[in-house]
Amino acid sequence: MLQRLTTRDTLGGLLMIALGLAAAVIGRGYDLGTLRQMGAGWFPVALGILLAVLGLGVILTGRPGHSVPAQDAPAQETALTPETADRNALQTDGDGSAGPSPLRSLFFVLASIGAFALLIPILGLILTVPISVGLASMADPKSRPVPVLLLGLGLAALTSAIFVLGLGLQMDLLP
Amino acid sequence: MMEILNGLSLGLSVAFSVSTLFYCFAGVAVGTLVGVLPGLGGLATIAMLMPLTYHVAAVDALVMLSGIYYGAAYGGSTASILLNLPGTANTAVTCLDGYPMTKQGRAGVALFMTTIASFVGAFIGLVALVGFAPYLLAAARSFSSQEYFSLMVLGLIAASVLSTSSPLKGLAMVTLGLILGLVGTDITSGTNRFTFGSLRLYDGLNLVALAMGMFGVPELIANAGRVRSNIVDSKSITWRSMWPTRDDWKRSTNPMLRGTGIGAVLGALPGTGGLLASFMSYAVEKRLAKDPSRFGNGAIEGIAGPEAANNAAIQTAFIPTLTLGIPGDAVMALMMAAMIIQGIVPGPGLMTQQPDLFWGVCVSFLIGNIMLLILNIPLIGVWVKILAVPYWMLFPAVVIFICVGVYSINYSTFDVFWVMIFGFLGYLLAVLKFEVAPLLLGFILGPLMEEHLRRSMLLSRGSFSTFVERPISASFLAAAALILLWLAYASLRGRARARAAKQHAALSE
Amino acid sequence: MHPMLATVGAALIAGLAVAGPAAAQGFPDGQDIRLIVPFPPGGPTDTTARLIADQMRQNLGVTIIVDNVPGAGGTIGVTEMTLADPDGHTIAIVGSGAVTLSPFTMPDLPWGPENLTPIIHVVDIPLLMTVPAGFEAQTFGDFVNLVTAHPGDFNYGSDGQGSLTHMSMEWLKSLTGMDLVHIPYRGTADIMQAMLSDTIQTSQSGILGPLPLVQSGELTAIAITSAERSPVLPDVPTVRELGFDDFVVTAWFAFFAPEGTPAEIVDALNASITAAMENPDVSSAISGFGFTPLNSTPAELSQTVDFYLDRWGSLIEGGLQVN
Repeated sequence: MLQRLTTRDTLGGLLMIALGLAAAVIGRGYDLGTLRQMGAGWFPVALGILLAVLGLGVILTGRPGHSVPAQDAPAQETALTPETADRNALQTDGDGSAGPSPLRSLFFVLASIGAFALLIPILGLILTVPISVGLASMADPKSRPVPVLLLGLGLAALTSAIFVLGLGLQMDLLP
Repeated sequence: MMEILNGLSLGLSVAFSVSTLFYCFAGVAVGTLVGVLPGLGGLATIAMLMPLTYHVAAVDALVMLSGIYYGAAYGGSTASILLNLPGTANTAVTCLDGYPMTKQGRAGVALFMTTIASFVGAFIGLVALVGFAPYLLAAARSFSSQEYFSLMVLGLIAASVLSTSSPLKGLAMVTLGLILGLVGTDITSGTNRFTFGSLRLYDGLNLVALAMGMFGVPELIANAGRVRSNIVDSKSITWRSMWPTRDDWKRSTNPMLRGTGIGAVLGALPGTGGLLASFMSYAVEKRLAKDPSRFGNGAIEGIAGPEAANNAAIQTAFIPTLTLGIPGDAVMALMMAAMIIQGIVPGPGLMTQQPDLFWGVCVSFLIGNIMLLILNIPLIGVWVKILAVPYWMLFPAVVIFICVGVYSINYSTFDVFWVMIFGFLGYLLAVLKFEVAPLLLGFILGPLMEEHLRRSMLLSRGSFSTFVERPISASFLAAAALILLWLAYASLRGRARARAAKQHAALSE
Repeated sequence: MHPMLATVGAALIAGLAVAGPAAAQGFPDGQDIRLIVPFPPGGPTDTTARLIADQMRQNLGVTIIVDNVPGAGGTIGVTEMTLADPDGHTIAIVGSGAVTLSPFTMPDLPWGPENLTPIIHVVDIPLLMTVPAGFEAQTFGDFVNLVTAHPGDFNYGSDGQGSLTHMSMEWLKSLTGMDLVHIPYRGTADIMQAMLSDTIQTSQSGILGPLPLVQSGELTAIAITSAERSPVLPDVPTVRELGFDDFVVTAWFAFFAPEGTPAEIVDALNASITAAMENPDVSSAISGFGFTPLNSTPAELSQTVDFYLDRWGSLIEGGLQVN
């Protein structure tokens, strides 16, 4: 039973139930209206309940091994904690070779995007791009600083050329 | 018939002028470029370039702007196939089998087939535009909110079949997409929903940020630091390897034709037609396939059908705009504005009062599509070379292109932050084996579906039976119910088989 | 918000700078002027703004940067404008809906009409009231009689709850006693389609949407909401002529500056834009959209704003639900 609680389908179903209930509860705060004149809340509440029911369905029909691609076989039978679930899923998504912790890639790729959003209005394209490239490259523990710096400068030049000079977008190049 | 021939000869004389050919080429070339770049789509480009057309002849302006529109649709599949980066919801369907083909070293074949499928779809769609406009129009006019709602129900249920894992997960993703689509100002009541007081959310979540975040970012996270050289072996990329095999051709022909048919009919419906067309085409091909499990693992039918549907729909989408003066989507609204600036009011009188414009534009579509074919086939070699870039260089580059692309839409860092949030959510869903393509369709259709539901109920003064009393609406719902029953049956049978196999295995042990 | 723009759902790219020789004489002091257009580029409003900006560059001798800041029914760009310094270097072209309706429909808005300094009212867009050509009532009088005889049986379409086309019809309903059911749509294109499929029996829409269908005989125009008849459809009577004296509704666009902009700067901008509007290229392009080009003083614009605020305010106090 404990195994069952930690399969992918169970976790996924629980996530859907949580999201569905959240939508329904927030939707309840809007006017529900009548059948003839449905208010802003009717559809969100209906969808939220539907999502929760579907989430329940996913849990009930989900079994370890059900409908997961065949090459995944070793991963399915094991009871998964979220962390090992991550690793298993990622290894099958990638080329199968062992690599650094997926949480490392997760963190640095997202950080790179966040840094871009934070810095672009302040530093302009030419400085922001190498910083974002540097952060993204940290996802790969074997990356070396000099090639990454050159890559960052090259991409800064390329994006400036395409988007600002070529397409004429209004973006600051420098602070 | 005579009328059409006369029209075509008039159109040929207009479209073959040097300036029109030039604007046609400029349009499709720019369209291909912006289609390939993630983020910036045809809509944004047309808006940016519109002021340039104020001073050229009306035909040329229209030819160039529409060239961008269908050119972008050609280019749009490239990033989806190579990098799992869909710029629009249509191309999200192309990701499903296009990207697996890339991983199998068949990116060239996938790109080649989408080019052919796009051409076939566009060409036949164009024939439909010229030959059957009045009939398609009549069909579109018999659609009221009830029909739209039921069509969307059918489309969404069909889309949940897209999921390679369980259909229940597909339905859950569709529903989650519908809910995400509701964020923002409710047009029926003016209420701001799920905005948490943020004015920036009044217009809803950004589609491109969602598509990039949910498709592209999880793929980057999964591969970064893990893929040592590149996704595919660069030595395997040869001209020969780009040519589809006889088997590929055989598998693709019928899906292309079916996709074109679906696209041509749905494209004429203002608004949602083209989008539903690619999803429906995919669902149909998967349903008809002898071995549906190939879908999602690089089935060439899965790109040929939807690409043809998408491009056919783009051509027939011009029908309501040109013949009624009712623009079906935002691009068409801009196109209409461009015509109005030129002093042309599109509408029922256009074909009779300005036959040179109408036919010139139609013929130029044909020329433009031929240009695209010639332009794109040599480019395949160039695009595939991208995959030869070592992955440690490619993945930061893709991150940057996503960021710049999303930022360029609104100059909104808020949208870029959303790429991050969607990237996290997409990653979580990938880990839990939920497919995001149905979510994307739900996201776009969410507000429309609600709008049509509420409007239907107002029109019927509160009676749900309106959906089954109207024959077209009733047949859509019946088809949707059939799919659900089939899904339930297939899943029960699958479970029974699995149980039998398990028992069998237990016995033999 | 111009109804056609309502169909331009996506938010887009900001625009191109109209560069010009800088000259420092009085206002402006040679510094750039940023003209915020709270709509995506490419639509009629954006085009109008760019045509005017081009003339302003010539008659003021400074660079005018046209900056598209779309979103939230044209209010996000206005929010940005109200936050700028009131020195005449940041102005915006604003739609009537954002000024006179959003105070009622968007309680979260960080500004109100009192935070805007009126400069000039440049464009009016009359609403055309139409019925399908096959409908049994083909004149305004017949229509009112028919609807009054069958309360609740007929539908009208609008651009959404609390939109100008909704408020305008509700006002007319309150004056005539008609009982029409309100069906909200996403924009003019959808309304027109619904008229053709006879889902709804009437609407008041910005003149450009129904015009081609009126000209081809698919729809019949039964009234126009502007104060005067339109030169494009000279046979269509105004609602005023039909016996509703104070009924005048138009969608409009006007230039505003942030609260506290000095009067002499406002006057200089007013003069510059007035001169721009007198340029025949500008006025003919605006007329081409089916818009009426106008000039006004800042005080006249202020009165227009008050007229509509008062009008919509009393309809809403009378129990009309807008959000």
